[in-house]
Amino acid sequence: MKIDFHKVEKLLEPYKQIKKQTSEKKEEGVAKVIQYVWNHTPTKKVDFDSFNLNGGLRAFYEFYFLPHYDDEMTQADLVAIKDNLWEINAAWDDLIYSLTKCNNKVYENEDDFI
Amino acid sequence: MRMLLDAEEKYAYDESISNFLTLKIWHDLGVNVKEFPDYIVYPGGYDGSSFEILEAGLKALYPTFRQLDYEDEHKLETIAKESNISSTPERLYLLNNDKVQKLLDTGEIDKLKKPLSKLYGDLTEFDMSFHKEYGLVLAIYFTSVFFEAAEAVARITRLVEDFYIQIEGVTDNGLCYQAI
Repeated sequence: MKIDFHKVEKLLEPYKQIKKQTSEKKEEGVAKVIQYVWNHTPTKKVDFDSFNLNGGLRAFYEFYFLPHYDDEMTQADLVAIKDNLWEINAAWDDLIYSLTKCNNKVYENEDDFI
Repeated sequence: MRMLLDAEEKYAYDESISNFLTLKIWHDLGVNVKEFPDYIVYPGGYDGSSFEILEAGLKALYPTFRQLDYEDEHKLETIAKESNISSTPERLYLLNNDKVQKLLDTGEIDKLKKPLSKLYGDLTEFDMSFHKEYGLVLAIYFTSVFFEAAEAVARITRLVEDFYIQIEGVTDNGLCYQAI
């Protein structure tokens, strides 16, 4: 059986879904915000054009709804933390640290000028 | 569980991120925030920069910025009452600039009544209104997460600018037509 793709394309045209870009609702640079705050980057060195406000709000609420140590936690909470963006960021940091600092693999600068 | 912080640490970070967002909001309004204080608040929060960051932004946007707190309690209460703010706030900011003054002079400020009444915060308790003499009034009840108040100020500031352009247009065109 032969399929005339041109015809199929034409027939499908009315059902085409056009995705409108909703730039207002876009959350840009969530990771940037998390990294800036987690690393305590001084105000002077923050590039405030690298994310938008919605991205910042996402980062805020992501943190805001984390439980804290004094809360009574259910198993579901503990599972939810694992998917939290802040947790993921911290886990990456730890992973990179452990890669550079594991046994017999300490990278040091060779030219020690002291 | 790396992000399982104790309560104090968590609140400190809530406040820090809020400060960070406040800086972003001021930045989006065209304020240069490079010299603003650092946004990180340490547990305990007594030396936090939340108020400083909020006020520095307000000062940049509204040069005739005035702040009233419990030291001027009597004045604070009268102004709050006159601007239809129901309960006495912890701090009151009187915000005015040329554009707000123009709106006050022409009576166009009434147009702000509706948008002002719609402002509210989920996390911050604040109230915004205007006073016939002092311009915009921002009332802060005690809290340390300020970015919602900053967002409200940003929204009103943009509206003021829009209305100001409208008024300027009318007077310019009016003069123009008269000349013809």
